[in-house]
Amino acid sequence: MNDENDCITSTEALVIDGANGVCRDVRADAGAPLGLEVWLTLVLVAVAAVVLRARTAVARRRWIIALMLGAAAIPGTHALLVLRADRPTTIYAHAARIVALHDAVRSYATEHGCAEVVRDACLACRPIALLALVDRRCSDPMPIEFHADALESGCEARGARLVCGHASRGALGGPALSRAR
Amino acid sequence: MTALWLALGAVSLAALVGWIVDRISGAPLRDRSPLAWLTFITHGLAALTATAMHPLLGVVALAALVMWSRRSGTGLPEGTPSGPAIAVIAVVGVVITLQPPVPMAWDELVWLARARVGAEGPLALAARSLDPHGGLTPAGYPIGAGVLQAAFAGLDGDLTALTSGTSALVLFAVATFVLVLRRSTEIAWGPVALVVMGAPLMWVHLRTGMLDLPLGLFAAAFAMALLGAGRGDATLVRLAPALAVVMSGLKDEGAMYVVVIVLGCMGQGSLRRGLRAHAGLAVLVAVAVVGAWRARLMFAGVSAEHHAAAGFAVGALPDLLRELVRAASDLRDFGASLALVVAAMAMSLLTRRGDDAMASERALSLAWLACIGCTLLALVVGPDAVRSFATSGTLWPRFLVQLVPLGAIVVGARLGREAVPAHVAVPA
Repeated sequence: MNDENDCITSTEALVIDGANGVCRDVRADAGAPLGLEVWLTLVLVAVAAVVLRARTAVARRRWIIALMLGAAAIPGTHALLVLRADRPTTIYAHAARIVALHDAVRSYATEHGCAEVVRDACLACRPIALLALVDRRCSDPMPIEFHADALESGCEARGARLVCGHASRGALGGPALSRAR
Repeated sequence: MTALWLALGAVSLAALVGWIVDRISGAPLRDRSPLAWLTFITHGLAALTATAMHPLLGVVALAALVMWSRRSGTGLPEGTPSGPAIAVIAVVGVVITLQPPVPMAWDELVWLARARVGAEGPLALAARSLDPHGGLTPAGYPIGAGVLQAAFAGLDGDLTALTSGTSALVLFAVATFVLVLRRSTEIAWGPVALVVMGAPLMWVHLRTGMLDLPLGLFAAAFAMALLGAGRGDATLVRLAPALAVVMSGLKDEGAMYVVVIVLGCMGQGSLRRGLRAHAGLAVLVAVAVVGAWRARLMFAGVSAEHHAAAGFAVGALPDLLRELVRAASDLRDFGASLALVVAAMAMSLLTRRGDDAMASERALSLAWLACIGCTLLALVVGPDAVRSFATSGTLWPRFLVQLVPLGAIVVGARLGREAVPAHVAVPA
């Protein structure tokens, strides 16, 4: 669930796959033949074995290991600090979107007693709604609609329902989950 | 900013419970290091975890901890200064504090939903989990994580408080790992820290409320506590069973780690004779916690959504192994950390049997491999939904996050053993 630059750069990608890998699109890669990285890792294992077995002083080997770990961590660290949506310079902006959606859904449910999602075209909104509504249950819930751009566009009450995102885009993206109200 | 200080109330209360357990055991610890206080806190958290599952289980756990403490002695280890460990914990605490107190990963949101129910009261999460119409997802999971996160959040259901509570749990796991590591004189702690920190995905998990990193850190600390307890370190002896309870309450994998690590150590003869009963008791409490919770689920008519036997899909093994290899060889996720771990394990398993330290290395290596084997088996016999997590590539990276700390111990044990003069490492 990554973006075109092969790293996690949107709030939605962050929620869905942010903890499943630093940058790799795990779902797109799944099932494909193993690539060059496997051979590279095998070379690293061989180098590590040589370093661990070397007859040089332990202190020197520790330095070599530190250098090896540091060098191999550069691509991942670069992704964490420069590429990913949760890099230090943008993490608060993405966090604010999640909080805004959570708070809108929770406030709406609190105001009306409880609520449920009846249209769900925003995959990343599911766990956010789960958290917001977990203690807001009742027998006659008010409807909430999630459209595809719910995280970017925010929510607004339209009549008796809460609509998050733009209905015109969301209508193309996902099915109605249950009865319309 | 993450409000880690919200956890102070729960931590103080847990320490008080642990201290009372220590006092009424009749064999109070002479140790007053940070690790001793962490052990008291862990005893309190273990009692809370068990009580949340069933009050009777809490009483049994407390009684077991008192008896355990009485039998474990009051011995002091050779002194290792905790200063560097405290500095590392403080730095990690600052890194966590600077993060926004907002859940940003799917599973983190799901775990937090459970913690929000747990914030309604110590027994609320169990009641909801045992309700077949409770709507809690995933159904049938252990509740320890939600209970501890809610406690660390000060039983406040607010988003900031809950996220801070989950971060406090992560920091507590880091503290446990670092303090036990620092106490383990036979393990070179610098390389261990480098192997753990050299995997960029660990940093991603450090700022989330995912449970993989804390579970992995607890598992590694449990292994080190068992192996270090052989030196007559009563603090580590007391820590191990409490960690077993906490780990079993966090996730079902927690009990697997306890069983596999104990069996690995026993199989390699790396546990002193007096410790075997203690290690057996750790397994017993872990299995009891999981067993009691599973029994309650069964009687309530709730099935474990993801962790139940559903067939035998042996044909899926090649796909599962391929995705495991793909995840392990992602350099952006794990850097050279897993390569070092694999090299150290291969060397420990292929080298002739040597001294006690060598046996410990082999035991941990076997435990590491057994964890992968058990998980593969669980995926083969488990439901399609979980198998699809693995074949779609989302399960293995998180599972490997759990295994990196334990693997790092193997690297540290090898370098630590070689750093000791030969006449000390191999007595005549």
